[in-house]
Amino acid sequence: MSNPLLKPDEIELKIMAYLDGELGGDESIEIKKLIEKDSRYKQIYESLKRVQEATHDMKLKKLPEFYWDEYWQHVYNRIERGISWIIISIGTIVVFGFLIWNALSSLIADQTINPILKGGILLLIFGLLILLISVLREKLMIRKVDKYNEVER
Amino acid sequence: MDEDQQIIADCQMGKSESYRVLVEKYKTRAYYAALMYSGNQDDALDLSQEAFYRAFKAIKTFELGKNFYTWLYQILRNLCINHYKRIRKRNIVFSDVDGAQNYVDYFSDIKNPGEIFEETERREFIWKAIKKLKPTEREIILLKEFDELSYREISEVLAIPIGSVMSRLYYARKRLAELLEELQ
Repeated sequence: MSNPLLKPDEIELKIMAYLDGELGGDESIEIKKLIEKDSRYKQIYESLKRVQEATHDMKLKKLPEFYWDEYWQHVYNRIERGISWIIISIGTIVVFGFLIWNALSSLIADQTINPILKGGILLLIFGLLILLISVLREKLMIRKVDKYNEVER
Repeated sequence: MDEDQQIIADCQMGKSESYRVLVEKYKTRAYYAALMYSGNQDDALDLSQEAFYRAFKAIKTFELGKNFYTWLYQILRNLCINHYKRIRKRNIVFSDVDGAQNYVDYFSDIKNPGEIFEETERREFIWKAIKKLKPTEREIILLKEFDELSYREISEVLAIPIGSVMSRLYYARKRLAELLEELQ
């Protein structure tokens, strides 16, 4: 063993890193010498190499060219549709907000409706608004701090 | 600043048209990565395109200086896991509940290697050995050998230290060598 400070396991890991081209210049030379000198390490190297060659024998199936030609277009369509959904959502919020505001204004201005009923309707709408804000805030807060937010629950 | 970082910086400033360059650059790797998880071409195309779309949506949160591909890969991997879980759930509803597993073994449903790999003499034999690995071993072998990620990239994707990547990969390869010998 050229380096007595390295535990056998560490050497085996370095042999693998050497095979994967993940070692720097000096370390790479050191491991290469070790493999040439020590039959046990040579055996480990050869075994790892055989596995690598076996997996490299498996060639991934090629996709017909036209799929690649259309690939960007599909991504672009998704982006475009995503933007259109955001615009539609904003538009819906504006329209409904306006309608609700108008309805509330007429309700408050209408002298023929019983004030108790008016108060009840206002409280109902106020409660729903608080509920909506609370749910939205919770969703947004979780999204911000949750590192697994891409994983569907 | 390298090309990727420049493009992302442009996208973050609202010049989104340059995003196409990133898609063209990484589409092949993303597609094949998705193919490994999903096992069929249609799903792989759909999942990889969705990953690019979600990455674009979240581009403002990308920290400049980090590797774009490993970030995209994490999004893609999560999408694939969700896809797998949806299929699994659907299958469980219609089949025997005893078949349910309590871990995410997202390559186990790929029955036919012909969906992923070209016809070669040793294809069935090597695939059989790969399928016998534990899910974590199989994943790291696929990340290294087929997705051709570096140790650093794997460490970022799986959120584990490089030392753990090396030991996990080493034992997975050792196990695969044993299985190849057993099956020969």
